[in-house]
Amino acid sequence: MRVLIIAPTNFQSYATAVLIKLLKDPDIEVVGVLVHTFNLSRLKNEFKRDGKRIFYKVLNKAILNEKKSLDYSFETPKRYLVQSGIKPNLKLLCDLNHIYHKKVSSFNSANLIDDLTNLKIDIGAFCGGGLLRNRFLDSFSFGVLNCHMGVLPKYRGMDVVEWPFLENENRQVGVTCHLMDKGIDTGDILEIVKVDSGKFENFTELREYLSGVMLELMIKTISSIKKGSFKKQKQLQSDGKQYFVMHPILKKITENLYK
Amino acid sequence: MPNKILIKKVVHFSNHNTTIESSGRLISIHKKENNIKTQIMLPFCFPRDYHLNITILKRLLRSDAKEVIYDRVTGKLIIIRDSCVYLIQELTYRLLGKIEGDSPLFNSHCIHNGTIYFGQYDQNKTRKSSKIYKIDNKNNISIAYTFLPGVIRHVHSITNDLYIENRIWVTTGDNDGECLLLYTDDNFKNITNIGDKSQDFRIVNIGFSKDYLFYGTDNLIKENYIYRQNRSDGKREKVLSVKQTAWFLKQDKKGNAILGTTVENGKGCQVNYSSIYFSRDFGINWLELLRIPKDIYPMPLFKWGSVSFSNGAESLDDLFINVESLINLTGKSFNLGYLTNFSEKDLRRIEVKKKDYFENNSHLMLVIYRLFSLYENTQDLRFLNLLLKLIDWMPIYSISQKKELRIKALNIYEGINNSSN
Repeated sequence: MRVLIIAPTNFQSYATAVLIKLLKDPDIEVVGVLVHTFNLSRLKNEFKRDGKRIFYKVLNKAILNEKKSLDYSFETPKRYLVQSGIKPNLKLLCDLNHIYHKKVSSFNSANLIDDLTNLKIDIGAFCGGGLLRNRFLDSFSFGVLNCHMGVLPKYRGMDVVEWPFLENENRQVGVTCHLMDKGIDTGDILEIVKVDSGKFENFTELREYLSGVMLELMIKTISSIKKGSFKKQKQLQSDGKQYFVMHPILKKITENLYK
Repeated sequence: MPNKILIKKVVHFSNHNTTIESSGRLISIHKKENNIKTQIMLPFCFPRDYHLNITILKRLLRSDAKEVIYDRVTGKLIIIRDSCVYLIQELTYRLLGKIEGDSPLFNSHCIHNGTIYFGQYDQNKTRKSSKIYKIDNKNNISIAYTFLPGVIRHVHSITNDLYIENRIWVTTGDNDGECLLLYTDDNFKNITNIGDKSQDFRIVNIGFSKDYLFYGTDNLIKENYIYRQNRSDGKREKVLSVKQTAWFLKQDKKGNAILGTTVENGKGCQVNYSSIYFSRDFGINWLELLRIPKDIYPMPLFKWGSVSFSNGAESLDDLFINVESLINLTGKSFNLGYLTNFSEKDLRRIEVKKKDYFENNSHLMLVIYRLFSLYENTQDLRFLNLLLKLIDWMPIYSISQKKELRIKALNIYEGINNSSN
């Protein structure tokens, strides 16, 4: 079973933790890591999608959250890396393990597709980095896996940790591992883990917890594909809705509802 | 290039093949089949054409008031403006004659076996006689029926019955005793009134199903309703309470109907916005598609706040809505299909690429008003989310309107939340 990790940056804890865990599994052959270059056009696209909160997100992830995530009692990718004594640096890890590492400005260039076809990869483990087109997805024999921080098929898209609370659907909180297709979170569902959201103080803590669930679910799903013990559940477009970035006023209302 | 959502003209007629629009005395005809566009300039009128192309002067002078009558079967085009009846042929016009009153109420004429009928619509403060005119196949104008002095103020509409051949309906107004709901089966030799003549029967346009008439009332002294009236026993039932007077209504044969309400001065008008209601079942159930607030200019000097509808649409998706004296959209027209087909796809397109989606500020405001109704009707919080984002996106000079709309949106949220708790 040949797996390639797709990461948004070289320093993402989640992608690094996935890599480390997969490297430890003797039944899995990690082909390498594909990293999306952070350039102006990407920043522009992400700014278009997220607005100014992209800056808060980066700041939060880089400084505030990362520190705080160590205080939680549950496992998170960052905590796992600290406990393992590893710093998130995908390039360095790939070099140490003599595996493929490539930085690309686009996931959809013809050269890259040729590269991937030659590498004969079974599974892509998507850890972020933007939208993927069909020809990229088609270069993996099984497909590309994504762990979505929401319960599919109902909650597709953005901020789906918060949306269920605003909609009084508090039980629809969790992580879904699914195959990626050209739609937004519309590919076949492989595994869903629902989470009891009542035990967390706020959304930051809940999201941190879910990031740990995502890590475990990605590894578990790849393992079940290897064993052939997985089940695919098709999604119809009408099974769910696509959600978008939540307006700050609604976010505040949701935070109050959560409290 | 894709069609524009908002047109800065009055659309009088629109079907799959022909569109007739106007702005002041300029009439534009577009035959879509051959892609032929023609323009005709009607004679200059004093004082209504002294507007210097200033929008607010145009409104004050009633520069756009005219009736365009297009017979899709024969291709005959008649325009009534400033009491003059013109026959349009190719690129010229011919004066057929003069009538009493300025022009009939917008798109409230009928064409029956090639004969055009329209009513006299004027102030008529002294309650002189009022006439129903007809233009025959040979373009002669004559009087089809005369209401004796004191019987009515003016004629609101003349409409063909969609289900009973040769039946023509007439509605009149305005005061108690003057509001008639009449029909004739013999070209106005005999007419029958089926209402009680009170303002409860003050009606402008009527819709039809096989067994019912349906209409909204234009009552200025009491609450208004949309009614369904049984054809056989004349009994009527209130279908929906509306907070303003209902003027214009159009329907198609599939049972789709649209009704617009008007902001006027009077007890019958309880709110300061005009609504567009839509029905898919011959007037049994109505859904509010849009609310557009009245603008700041005083009524009636600068017109009532109203929406009117184009003629000719075989399917109501082809119908155009003309907006008058309502904020952000006055003097503009848009297609009903844009409102009824506004969907998940539009939601996604706006969320992802809102800069590319909107043509201008009026388009943004149209979507904002539509989202209010969509959120209220569906209670889908994604519409509220987008609504709040678009309110943020409104120009900085609209700061007070932004604040007002934001509060209104959150009040709706609280209202829905409280009722579900």
